Amino acid sequence: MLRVDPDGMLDEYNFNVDTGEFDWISDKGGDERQYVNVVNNEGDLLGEGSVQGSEVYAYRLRESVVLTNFDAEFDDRSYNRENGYQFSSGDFQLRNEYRKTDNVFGRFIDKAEGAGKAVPISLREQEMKYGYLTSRLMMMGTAIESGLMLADPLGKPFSVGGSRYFSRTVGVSGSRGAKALTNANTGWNSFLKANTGKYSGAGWQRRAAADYYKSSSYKK
Amino acid sequence: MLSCSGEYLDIKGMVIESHVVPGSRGYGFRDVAEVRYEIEGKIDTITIMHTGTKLDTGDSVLFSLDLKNPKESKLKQVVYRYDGSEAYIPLDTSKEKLSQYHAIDKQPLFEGVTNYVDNDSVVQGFLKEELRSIQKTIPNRIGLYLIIDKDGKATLGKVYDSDVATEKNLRKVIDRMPLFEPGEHKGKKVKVSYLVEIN
Repeated sequence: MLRVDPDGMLDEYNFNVDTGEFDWISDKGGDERQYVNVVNNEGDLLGEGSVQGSEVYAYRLRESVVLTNFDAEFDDRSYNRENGYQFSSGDFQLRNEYRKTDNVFGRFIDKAEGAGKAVPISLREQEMKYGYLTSRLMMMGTAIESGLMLADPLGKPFSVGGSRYFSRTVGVSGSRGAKALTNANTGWNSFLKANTGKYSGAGWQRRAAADYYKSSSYKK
Repeated sequence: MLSCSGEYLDIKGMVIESHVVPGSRGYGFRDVAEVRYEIEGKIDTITIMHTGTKLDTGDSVLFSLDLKNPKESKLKQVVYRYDGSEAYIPLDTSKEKLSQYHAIDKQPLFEGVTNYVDNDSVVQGFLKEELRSIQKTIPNRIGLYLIIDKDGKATLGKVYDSDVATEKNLRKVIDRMPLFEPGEHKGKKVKVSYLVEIN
């Protein structure tokens, strides 16, 4: 969600994590600083922060809300729609670093997010999710796939041994940037939480997604 | 910020130096940062050998201090960038309940104020005048959060665009501030966070 303050009038906002709404509430801060209060439906304050400049973007992560004064081109509604993995702040920071460089890692992250299959990016998150040994085996696999992708002059990913990251390439869907946060990614995750244990085995994401689109959690 | 889990302690610190150095056995590169932090009232520094992300002097960070082997301490996250370009707001629901000033039914009212919309100018005027009586010059624009409890007593929360001396004086001023008429939400008195700007 983006808020721009061209005339020094839009300066303090409430970002509601339950609804994803981003409301202007007062004109403090001029065009030098933007203040954001993170609240819930009850009006409770969950945290506050600020960035310098006349623009502010807010993105919902696993255990935090991140504010930036630049467009991170991150769609927090759809980046994990297929697997439900939520970025930690460490993942988000590394993601931005990689995306600044036009290399295979940045493109890999774009593709994974575009396909709704965000993966742990920071080593710490990898280990927590997959364990020490598995995370290193996965890194090795990714490195091999990355090398193959670099070797392809068209930059098209190869499918290697049932690759879980490169087997499907889905174009960027959903919105990015200014419209990226209007829904704050709560529907899909709350649906998964409400249906814990219901889906398992191969293709569970597809079955869950089909049910999700029919459920009340899904808002168009 | 301190929290302990077994042999690790989560601590907030500030980057005082950062470098990119060749990785082990000459492969690749890694980011190294020197971080200053406070523990039990003492200032100390630590070198984090592999931050995994580019850091700059002045970045505020959260790291996990390995008490048995400090060299293995790891960066957890950047909290605030030195240039104000990024800020991370942890969603901690375990902390004491606090209401947002604009999200409640009845805002706290400062002495002499009958309509909450007048709070901004009256509170700012009070703080500015009191601050000027202590120090000759004050920064051009200070942003501060007042935490007003259920009795109407105000304390200082986060402060932006200030300096150490001004912040210290602000605490003194706020400590002797007259009581607010407490804020209310759904018929109950609530503790409120209120952003005030002095310019």
